[in-house]
Formats: sequence, structure tokens, C-alpha cells
Amino acid sequence: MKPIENGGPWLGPVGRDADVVVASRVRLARNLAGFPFTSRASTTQRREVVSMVRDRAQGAAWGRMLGWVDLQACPAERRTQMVERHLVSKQFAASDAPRAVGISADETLSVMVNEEDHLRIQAMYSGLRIDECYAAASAFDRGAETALEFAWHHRWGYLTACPTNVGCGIRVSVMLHLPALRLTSELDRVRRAVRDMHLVLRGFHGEGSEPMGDFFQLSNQITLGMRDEEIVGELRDRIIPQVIRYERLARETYRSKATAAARDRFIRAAAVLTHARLMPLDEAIKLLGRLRFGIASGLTEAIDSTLVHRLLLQVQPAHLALARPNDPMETMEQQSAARATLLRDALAPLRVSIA
Amino acid sequence: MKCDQCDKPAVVHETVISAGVQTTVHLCAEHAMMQLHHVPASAPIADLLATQLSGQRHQPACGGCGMTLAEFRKHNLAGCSVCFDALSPVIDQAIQRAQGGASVHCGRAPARRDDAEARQAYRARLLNDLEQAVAAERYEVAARVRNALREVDGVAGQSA
Repeated sequence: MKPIENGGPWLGPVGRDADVVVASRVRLARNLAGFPFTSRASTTQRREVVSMVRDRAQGAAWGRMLGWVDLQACPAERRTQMVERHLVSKQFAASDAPRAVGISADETLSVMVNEEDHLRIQAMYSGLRIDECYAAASAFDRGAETALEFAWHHRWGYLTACPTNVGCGIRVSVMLHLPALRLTSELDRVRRAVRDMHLVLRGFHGEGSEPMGDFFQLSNQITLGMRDEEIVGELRDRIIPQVIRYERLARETYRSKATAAARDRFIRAAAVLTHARLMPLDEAIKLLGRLRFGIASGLTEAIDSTLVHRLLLQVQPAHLALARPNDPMETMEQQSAARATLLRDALAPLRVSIA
Repeated sequence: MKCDQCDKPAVVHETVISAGVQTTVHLCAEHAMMQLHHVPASAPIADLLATQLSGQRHQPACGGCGMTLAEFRKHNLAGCSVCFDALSPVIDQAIQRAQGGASVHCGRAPARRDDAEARQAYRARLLNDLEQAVAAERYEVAARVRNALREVDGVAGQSA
């Protein structure tokens, strides 16, 4: 299957509270009864798991919407591209064992087979739309359990390889843009507060990644002793709105106390992005984050945050290389040059508006 | 209960009788592992062999996938569904630690589950958990266990 041109609809600015919330994601972890979990399964067993899940999904209404990619037969660049689109995890893309991913045509639903668990069902939408994510992931799960028997324990619920996922196997993640909380040095306080509520704030690409461009992922940690609906509801109604309120308050404080500085920060980011000849990835993300903050603060109408979201994806190495197959991309400098050209072209309307 | 050597919760409780004196040792996962592999440099070869052999004898393994306690502790990953009973209570402790003390699932279950015997065993375990939670005055836990009990009874009622 071919990836869609401009990335999934989760990149759009639609959805509630899109000034702070970039995207929402719900992931369900499931394992097949009668097979060892992925890390203990033999190559033959892993192949069996892949064909069992794929065949049953392809033949049924609940799974027919997925197009399947065999990771072993997939070139490294395409695998990295799927990581950049948050369709598969880094570890999943890097492993060399039999594994596959099913992806819906609009890229909102993806099902990794033979990640740490046999099935990782995930749904992703733009803005604060946890309910829609849960509904999509849950519909697939409900369908799948009519054709596959999931590992289940009367005390521990859905069994998963890692104790951190046992129970509901649900991970609700919200990608947040928190520039003002960082600028006003309030981020550590938020981090401590969410930790006390058994949540975790991570970097751009989730587990083990560094925060870039002030983008963070907030996820639940507890999956046992609470219903799916309680976990979803608590994040949706209590915790996320609170973080959004904090960020908006910090934005107001920052803008009122540092009006000139806020504008200067935005103009500098725009100037570098629209003129630089070499642009390393981390700098691109940092500056695009500043543009997004500027757009949310009403500092420009020349571009919108959909464009920024799309660029956040297009500047990633695999997207860059696959979009420009004829450009030399062997060295970091060549990659940096291609990225700078892409940004200058895409942000041309901004160059005119800040001149 | 805390580990004898640090502040972490003890997961291994061992009663040792040496020269007629009985002592009980409580250890966390890490210290239990260290104890298992610790052999003094000056130990005679016979003692060394005995230590290794007894270590192996007491090392439970999962009948489903062969996962040993040491492997589970090293990677903190279960190998298959059977591990959850075979490696109990160590795996129970690991789950409860990871889950902020929660000790029982509540909510959604696969729609195809209908084995009455397993449900009865589960119900008995929940009643036991409820009793313990109330005795320890952990009312939040007790409330969750009670909800899980209602759910089990609800399922039983529907299928009756």
C-alpha cells in the first residue's frame, strides 16, 4: 500500500483545543491465547501469528479496511517513514523478525502485529479527540475478538508481555504543544503533578525520545483496576483540560510580560526558516514549534498550523528522501540543504509577510 | 513488607534453619537476585556446588515457555499467558508495583468468555482481596474490588 501524500488527517488543525493539542491517540495491547508472547515466540510462531491476524482481518468487515505491509519485505526508508508518521514504533521498525502492520487508507488506524505484544491496535486523530480514537481502536478490537482468542486472566484481565500494560491494555496519549509552560519554567511543576496522577510526559516520539520544538506526549500509566472508559474520561475531562488551562494561562502571562520578545522570537524563527541554506532536523522542529506558537498567538495569518504540522512530517529524514528521489541525500549536509529548500519553498508566503 | 537490605518492597520471603536456629529473610527482587548469585570467594568447592544446585532447585520456571524468575526479573517481561500463574507471587508484585498498587482488573472482557468454573475461582479470589483490603483499610482498593465482584455477578446473572 502507498502512504498518503500529505500524512494522515491527524495532521489537520481540526478537533477541540487544537491550539494546544496537536493529536490524540489510543492504543490497545492484545495477545493471542495459545502462543508465547512475541519475545519468546519462534520465527515459525511469529509467522503464524502474522498470517492468522492478517487473514482473519482481511476476510471480515471489522478488518477489511486495513492494507498490510510486511516489514521484512519493506525497504528501510519506508519503515522509517512509518515511524515518522507514528504508524509503527521505532523498535518495531528496527526488528528483523517476522512482523507486519495493517494501516487504514486514511492512516487513522494501524495494527502492529508482533510488536512487544502480538497486537498493538492504535487510532490517531488531530486535536483533542480521544473518544473518536477509542471508538475506532475499540471497534477493531471488538471485531477481532470474534475471530481471534485473546490471552485473558481472571485476575489480571488482558495479558500483556509488560506488567505496565496488563488489565485494559490501553494507552491514551495526547500530543501537546507547550511552549509557554517551558518559557515560563513551569514545565517541571506540570511534570511532577502529572506523575503524581500516574501519568507520564514524554518527548516528541514517545518512550525514550527527547522533547523537540516543545512538543510532548502525555499518557496514562495505569491500566489495571480502572475501566477503559474511566481512563479515557479522566484524561479527557479532568487532566488534559487542566494542562490546557495551565498552558493558556502561561501564554497570556508570557505575551503580556514579554510582548516584544514574543514577536521577536516568532520573526527570528520565520526569518531563519525562510532564508537558511542548511537546516538540521532538530533546529527545523524547534523553529517550526515557534511558528506554531506564533500562529496560535495571532502573529501571522500568512500560514496556518496545518502547514506547520505537514512540514513537521516532511522535514523528517525518510519523508525528505522519499519525496526527492533524485536529490543526493548521502551526507547530513545534503539532507540539511534539501530540508532548507523544502522549508523556504513551503514558507514563501511567510517571507513576504515578515519583510 | 520492606526488604531487609533496602526500602523496596520485599518479594522473596525465605525461612532458613541453620544450626537449629530459624530466621526469616525478606528481600526485594534485586537483593534476592544478588543473594542467589553471591558466592564468597573463599567458599570450598563442595559448598559452591551446593549453593549453585540449591539455587537451581529453587528457581521456578514457567511450564508454558520456560521463563525463569531470573529472566523475568532481568527483562520485566512475561513470556506467555502461563507465566502469570507459574511465576506468582513475584509477577503479582511486579504488576502491582507497575500499576500503582492496583490488584485486580475491572471492566471490559472478551465477549466469548463463558467458563463458569474459572469465574467461580476468580470470585473467590476477589472475596479474599476484598477482605484483605478492608482489613488494611485500603478503601479505594476495596471499592474497586467490590465493583469487579458486581461485574462478575452481573455476568453470571446474565448467562444463568
